[in-house]
Amino acid sequence: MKYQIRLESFTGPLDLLIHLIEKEEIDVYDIPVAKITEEYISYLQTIEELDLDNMSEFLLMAINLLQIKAALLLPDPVSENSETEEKSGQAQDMKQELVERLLEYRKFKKAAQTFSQWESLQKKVYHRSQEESIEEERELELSEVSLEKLLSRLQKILQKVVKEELTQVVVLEEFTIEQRMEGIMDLLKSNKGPIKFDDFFLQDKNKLAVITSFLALLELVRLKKIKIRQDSSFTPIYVTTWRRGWEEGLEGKSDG
Amino acid sequence: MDEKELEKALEALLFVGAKPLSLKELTEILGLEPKRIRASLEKIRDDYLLRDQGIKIAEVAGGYQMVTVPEVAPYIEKMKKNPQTATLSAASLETLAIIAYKQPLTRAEIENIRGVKVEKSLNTLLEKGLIKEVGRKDTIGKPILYGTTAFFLQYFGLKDLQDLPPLEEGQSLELEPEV
Repeated sequence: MKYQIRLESFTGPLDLLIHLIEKEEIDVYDIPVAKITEEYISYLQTIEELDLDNMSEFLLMAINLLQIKAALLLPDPVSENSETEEKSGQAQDMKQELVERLLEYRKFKKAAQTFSQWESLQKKVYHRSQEESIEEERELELSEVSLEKLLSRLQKILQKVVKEELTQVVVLEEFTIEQRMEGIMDLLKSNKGPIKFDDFFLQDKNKLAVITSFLALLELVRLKKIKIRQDSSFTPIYVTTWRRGWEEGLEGKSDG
Repeated sequence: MDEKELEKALEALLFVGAKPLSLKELTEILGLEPKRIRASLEKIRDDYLLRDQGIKIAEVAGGYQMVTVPEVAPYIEKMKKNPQTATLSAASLETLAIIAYKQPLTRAEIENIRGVKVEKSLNTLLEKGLIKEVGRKDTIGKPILYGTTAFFLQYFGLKDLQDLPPLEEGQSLELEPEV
């Protein structure tokens, strides 16, 4: 029997197994392993394009099924041999384990289907925050750029610097993190607006300088002098002064 | 502040408020008993329902929010440049369901249940802000633990995590002999 469905329509080998079991109206607690194994493998054989990345997990399950099938065929009912009994027990254990995995997985598959219904329901529900209050939302989201993201950005900047380093004679200009922090704050205050994260590394001609700038930025975040923000995943990361820190700075100046 | 005044203030706050407003926030703004505010909110909510309006008061993500009723969605979609039509893939939904019910848990634990690699769907969910890193598990390698966000509740129109229906539990297993 041929199936018209493609591998991509299943979220994984367990999903495919559940599909086969439901199609045959089999009780999950009582899977005829031989039959299901056959169906499972014949299904895999209908797949024309082999996407090894996705296939490996499906093949692993095929092997698992074959192992169980083979183990279940082994016991000899005539023989009272303890070894074979043990084998049969082992086969039952393997089958039980698979059944438990299927049951556990099926709970979440069902929950995911419920989620999907909620999702399509909620897609029809609109509220003002999606458009009218973009500014406010931005304020909320922007302050959360993960360190992971910053590090991946740093890596890109470093790669660029390393490339340039190879083609240039570099005069080592050493400065401390503190000096760099001052420089960053001066730049932000004179600019009066957000500056692109990458722009803080423009003068940095070697790895050490880039890392010094990066650490200075992180230290300023820790001290709540600046905020690092990003609108959405694919837009540039921006740095601004932390409003309160900025105001305090002004007050301090007027006092002196 | 009399009843009518309170209702008007609440309605206005819900109208202007961008995100769901919690009872706590409303209490702080209005300086009144939470009990009284809740009663008033419920009255406004019921009024909207009774009048069969295009807008209703929804209880989502631990707060109250003015939202449109589903039947007017086609008109809003026509007006908007980018209607919210993209939906999550089945794989992402499975990963999300596992996280929602079993949080906090690690990637390996999710993969164990789904039987496949889940890196792609984890990234999608992180990018959409439906899940976040909530800490590290105290085992070898200190793997990242994942949990759902407040936006997750909003996305699915849930009040809180207790709003999730119980998982359908599997009964005790009785293996039938192989034929």
